[in-house]
Amino acid sequence: MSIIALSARVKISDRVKELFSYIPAAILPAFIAPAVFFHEGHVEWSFGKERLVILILATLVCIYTRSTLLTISFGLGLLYLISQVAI
Amino acid sequence: MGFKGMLPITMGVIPFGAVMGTVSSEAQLTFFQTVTMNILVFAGAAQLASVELMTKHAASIVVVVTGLVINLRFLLYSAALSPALQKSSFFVKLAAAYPITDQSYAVMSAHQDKLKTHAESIQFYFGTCACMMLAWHLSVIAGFIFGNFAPSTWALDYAVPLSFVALVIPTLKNQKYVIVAAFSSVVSVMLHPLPYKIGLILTAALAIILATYITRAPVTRRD
Repeated sequence: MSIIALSARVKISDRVKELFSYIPAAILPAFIAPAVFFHEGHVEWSFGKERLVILILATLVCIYTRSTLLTISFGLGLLYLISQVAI
Repeated sequence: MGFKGMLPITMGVIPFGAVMGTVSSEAQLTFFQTVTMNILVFAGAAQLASVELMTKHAASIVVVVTGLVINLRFLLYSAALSPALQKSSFFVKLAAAYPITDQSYAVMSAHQDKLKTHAESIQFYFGTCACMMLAWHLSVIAGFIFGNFAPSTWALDYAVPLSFVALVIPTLKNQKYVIVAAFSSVVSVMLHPLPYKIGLILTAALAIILATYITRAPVTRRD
């Protein structure tokens, strides 16, 4: 709130705006990576971290489709399929 | 547009909200206390940590400070969103500051290039916030009443990182952004064991320092 409120009084330089554009790249992966490597799942996959593989494939789906819904649906669907096969 | 853009993201929000409602119920909070906390705090991670601390009879100051530390990342979000809100009135800024969440910020960032005017940005932002608030409040209430209703086999908790993948990819405009994102991924794993999500804000701070370094203007040599 304080920074939003100050924005009218302080001129934000182009350099600062450029750095602000890096904030998503700086913080969003910090949510993604721990969710992959620190998940206490019940699925045991002989090839290793199935969630990492799903994440890589979902990233490719996202790059090609640019669709949030498809990315999430693909990732969850694949994870569900793998969990059923593992059972 | 903002409301529609946020809809797919709610797939990851709903199970989290259900967990929050369930945890609140198990912690013997009343329905009124749960809903009030939901409205006043409106920050899932901070709410969960606060309820956990309260069940352990932690001092009020500890609960408050923990919530503040966990929510430090919203300072970064507000900084990033401030250019879009610069021309707005004080009341619009006040209204915009309250509903900031990880998801609404991420959706806003992913679509920012498509928003040409100030009015479009404001409308889009409030649309994302409205969707997020609706999904969060309803799922917490449902979790409180019905318990954690999502089957564990669906692994809906993985919808959160998947949605962030879909939201961060459009923001990686060139190699420098990819480097910062890769750095953030590695460091976040190393710092994840730190308590109260301090690792998250440290990771962001270090990644922004890296961004500052790799985007610095080249030094011109004077011969």
